[in-house]
Amino acid sequence: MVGALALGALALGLAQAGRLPGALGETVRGNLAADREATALFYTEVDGWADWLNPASASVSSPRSDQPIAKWP
Amino acid sequence: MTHAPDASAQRSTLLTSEDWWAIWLGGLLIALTAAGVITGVAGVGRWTGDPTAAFAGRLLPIAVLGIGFALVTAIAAQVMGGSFMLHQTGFIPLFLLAVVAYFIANQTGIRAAGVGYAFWALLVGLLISNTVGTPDWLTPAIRSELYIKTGLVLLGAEILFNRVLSLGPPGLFVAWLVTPIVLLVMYRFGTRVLKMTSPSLVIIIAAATSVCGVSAAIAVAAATRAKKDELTLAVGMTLIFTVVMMVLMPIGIRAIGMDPIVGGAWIGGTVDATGAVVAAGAMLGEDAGQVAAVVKMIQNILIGVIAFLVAVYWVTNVEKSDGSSQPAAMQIWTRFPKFILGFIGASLVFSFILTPMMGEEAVTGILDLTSDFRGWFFCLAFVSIGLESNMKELMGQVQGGRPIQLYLVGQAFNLVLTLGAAYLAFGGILFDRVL
Repeated sequence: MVGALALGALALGLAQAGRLPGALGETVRGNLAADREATALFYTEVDGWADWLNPASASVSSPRSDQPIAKWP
Repeated sequence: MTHAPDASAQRSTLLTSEDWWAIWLGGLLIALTAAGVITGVAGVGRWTGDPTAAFAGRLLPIAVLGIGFALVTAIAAQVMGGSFMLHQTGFIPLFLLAVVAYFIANQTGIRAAGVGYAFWALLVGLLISNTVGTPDWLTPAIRSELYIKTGLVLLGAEILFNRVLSLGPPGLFVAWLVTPIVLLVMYRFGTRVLKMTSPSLVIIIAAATSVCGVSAAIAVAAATRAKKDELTLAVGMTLIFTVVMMVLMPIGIRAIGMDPIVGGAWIGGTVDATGAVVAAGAMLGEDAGQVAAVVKMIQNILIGVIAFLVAVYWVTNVEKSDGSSQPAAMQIWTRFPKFILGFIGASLVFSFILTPMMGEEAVTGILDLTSDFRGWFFCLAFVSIGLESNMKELMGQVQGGRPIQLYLVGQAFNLVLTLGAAYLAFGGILFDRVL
């Protein structure tokens, strides 16, 4: 009984991690906002993994626009 | 760790060993999915504040899945020498515990914190076994090896060699150069310097650190026939440090003003779990997130090669028995974990037969289903391992903190080496800059 309560408390605490101030809270809020697969064990568990295979064709903008942009070989 | 009793000792191992049954079950699920017979896999839904949302419209499909799993695993248990009915009796509650693990893990806040079903499945199992004790009627269904190995055969299908080669030299350089070096250095450090008594525990921690966390730990543990406590310890450590690194690495990278693309490659090569890599990489921006994800994907592909090489090394060196009358090649074959053949075979079939034959889109659709099956088998395996684990024995594996020392030293080495490789490959030094 005590163990089940501890498990429930841990789950409840982690479910509220997005409310924490600081780095952990910021990360969790970012993941929540983007609906990211933060628990994936393998790449195929991440939604849209097949898009990674053609990164050059993805519509992304470089965060460093002063750098030359090369396609993936 | 086989469940086959003496009566079945004379029967072919093709029917009595869990290794072969993992190949049959994994192969059957892959074949049914590829043939279009199976078009969906039930799962627990995501939920935020209303727990019933996790099961809305899903109860019947989950029940059908549970009964289906119970039937096929009970047939395997019966043929291996167990009891069909006793297995059935224990399996349904075991499956329900796996559902509980998925239910907790799929709460959006918990999911965003990066604490997945593997953690909850282990915890639920450990909680039962170390409080009220694992009931006897559950024991016949606790076949962690069968579930792990079946999951690994399914995982093999997700290792697409043909696609990874199209991802480019910079990612290959970071992922494939550093990973084997870290694995070997950690193995030598653990066995020679720390003098850890269990080489299997050392190699599991090394694989989890250098390759991709939990999935690599599972593969290598099965390849070395490691104790379940060792896998539990390695997975527990990996899960905790993964969350820490997911949070701290983007902060550190931003604080020192590192090029986000280099930072993304660094994260992809060092953070253990794929989900945490995606989350941490995205904190640096879209491009960095994509680089992180691709580097980790290339590293994921290494699981197959590493599990195979570790299995070969184990049977030819670590478990070598000089007193056997069998020829050397026969000894190797006898001890070789056969499920690895299914694991590698599935990878080769998907990479070089199904993808060219069916097209990438169709294969992606198939893998979305097989990865769901694999998740369920891993979840069942972790619940089973938790139910079989004893906290006292688990603490015995801690060996004065040496596993943690191994992880920390290995991860520090991994961080330094990967940073250097990331600069060389993604900093515009060895290759043209990407993105």
